[in-house]
Amino acid sequence: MLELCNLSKTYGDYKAVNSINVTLPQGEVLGLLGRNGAGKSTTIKMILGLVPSDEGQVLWNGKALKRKELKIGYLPEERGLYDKTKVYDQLLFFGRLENMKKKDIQRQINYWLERFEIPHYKHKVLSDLSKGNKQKIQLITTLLHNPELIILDEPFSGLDPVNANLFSEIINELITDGKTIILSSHRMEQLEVFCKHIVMLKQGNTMLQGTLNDIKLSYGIQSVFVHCQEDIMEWLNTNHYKAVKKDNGFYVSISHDNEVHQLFNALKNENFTIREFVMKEPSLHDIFVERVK
Amino acid sequence: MNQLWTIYSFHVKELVRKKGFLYSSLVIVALILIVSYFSYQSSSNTKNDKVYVSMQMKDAQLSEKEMDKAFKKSGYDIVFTNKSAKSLKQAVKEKEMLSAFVLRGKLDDPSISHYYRQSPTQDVSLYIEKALESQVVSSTLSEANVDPLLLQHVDNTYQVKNNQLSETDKSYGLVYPMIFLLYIFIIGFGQAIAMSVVSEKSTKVVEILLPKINAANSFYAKIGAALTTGLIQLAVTVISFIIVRQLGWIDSGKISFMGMDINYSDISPLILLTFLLSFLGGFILYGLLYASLGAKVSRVEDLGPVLTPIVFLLMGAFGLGIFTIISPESTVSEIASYIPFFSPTVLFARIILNVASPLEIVVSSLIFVITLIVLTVLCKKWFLQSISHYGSPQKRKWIFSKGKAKSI
Repeated sequence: MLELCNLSKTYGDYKAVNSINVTLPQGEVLGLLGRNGAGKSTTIKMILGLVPSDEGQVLWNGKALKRKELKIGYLPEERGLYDKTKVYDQLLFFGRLENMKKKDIQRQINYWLERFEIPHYKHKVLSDLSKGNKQKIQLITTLLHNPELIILDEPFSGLDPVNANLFSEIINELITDGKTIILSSHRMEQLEVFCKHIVMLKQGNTMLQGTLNDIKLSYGIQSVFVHCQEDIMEWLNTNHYKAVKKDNGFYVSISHDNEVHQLFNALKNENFTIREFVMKEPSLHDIFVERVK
Repeated sequence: MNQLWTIYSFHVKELVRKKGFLYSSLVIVALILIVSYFSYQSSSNTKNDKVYVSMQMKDAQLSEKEMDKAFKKSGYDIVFTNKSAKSLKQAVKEKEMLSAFVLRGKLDDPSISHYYRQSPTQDVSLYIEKALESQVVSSTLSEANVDPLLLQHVDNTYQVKNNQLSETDKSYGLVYPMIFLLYIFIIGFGQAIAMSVVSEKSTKVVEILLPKINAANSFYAKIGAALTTGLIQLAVTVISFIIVRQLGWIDSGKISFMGMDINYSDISPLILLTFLLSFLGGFILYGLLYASLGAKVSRVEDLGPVLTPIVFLLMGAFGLGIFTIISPESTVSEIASYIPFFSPTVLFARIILNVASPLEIVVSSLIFVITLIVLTVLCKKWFLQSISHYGSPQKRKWIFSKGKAKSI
């Protein structure tokens, strides 16, 4: 279990992280959200020990996290690789720094290059690779030593949809393998798929925290998608419903859960032929925009 | 230790595999071979310059054989002739000979003409003057019926016998190339250390590395890698010299460095050890300076102006080292040997020249080691700071109010 207890960091007069508290059970995924400068990277760097915290501590299974006792895989937001070095050489180097044996490193390199469908780039110089392929090499560097705690900062940056799907598959495999993952991204739809836990930061302060389900439940139903055979626009306007026409239907805003039943019954009473009636929860994107704007 | 070795071997491979390293090594080999070959060819084809002497003075005596023997080493062939002054002048003008002397008149009233194009053959001229002067003295004294035994006394020459009490002379030839080698190594390979540090920062590799490694290991591995690369090129240079020596293109007796002769027999194990320690110490110190300043900037483009002070320091160390060879016991040298940035050259020179006292060696070494530790700590701190602050360090503005300074 990873615990961040009252973790704080100040740069001069600027409070980059203000007393953040997080508990992440082993084998689960935490989504770290926030706008640029919210304190996500500083929090990650404090976990990695790259930046010393002013207050608080980072615990792993109840003890202070020591880098030598825990294998951590870190994928930074910007690429951290040697541009003029061959792919194999730098992967071998990073593996060696994790005290891996050469044979194990070679086996892992071959496995991951195959898994990412780029075995032919093994002996290429990194600068010859495209941005997406460099990102693949960066993720291999992160996973090469089979880490227990994986920190992924903007893992989908620079990926085309096909490669983004491949990355998603691999992250899913890691979750299945019971890895503890911290995921920081601006792509809410992807975080929503993977993360059970969410921490939303704004200017170093925790704005929202908890499991994704609880957060969404606390927000309740905010809209309903209605698709009827008849055009119900006039009826909706007459009855003072706020609605937007989209996807062959209407997104109707509602203020509380009871209103859903009232709307459904009213449509039935008017003898409209209801083809689709879906209660829409707020997306993580909606929550993010509302809380951090 | 294992970690240090991993980083070190990675950087050595990186540096050695660079095309620039391969090309510069090939250039070194080619230069040594080409220069030695042409030097050998020109020396074997060289003919001695001819100096003609027209002896038209009846009562004077000069021996062609003796003169030729005396000036052989200076590269002159002395040829006696009966040609006239006019024809000799013409021959010198037409570069048929280097110079010509025409001796006319009598011993007590001689007329000696020296014809040359650009520079006079001064040593031959002095030889002739001295020989004639000696003959004038002898003939004058014998005409005055001076006792032959007394004449022998007059002919006596006095020579000062030099007795050197310390063995510094032999070492001069050693100190200079060793100081030069240290200077060249640091100038040539120090920048690679700074470049390596900055590029790890600018590519953000540092964020991947630092959670895994000790920052000090990273610096020392980089310094070691730069040193190894330099030593490989030095080995290439030495091997090239061995090859040209085996080919007979250079003199196998001794090495001459900028006019100073180096005999292998002068290099004792103690001198070698002193040199090795000074060389390693100097390289590590300046390597750490390069790494520290590399850690202070974020982009490779910003490196140039930051490194200029190191070049000045290095030039100072080199200049003071040379000054110490000339004047080892001067106060300037003594003070400079305590300054860590100069002690690798100055203290080294003073030790080799037998001038440094044991106390001076101990105190200088202590100051040097403390400086290394301080630099390592600073370097580590700046490198780690760079993780949280990219870009230029925050500027401090100072406001002066009511005579007190406040920092914002």
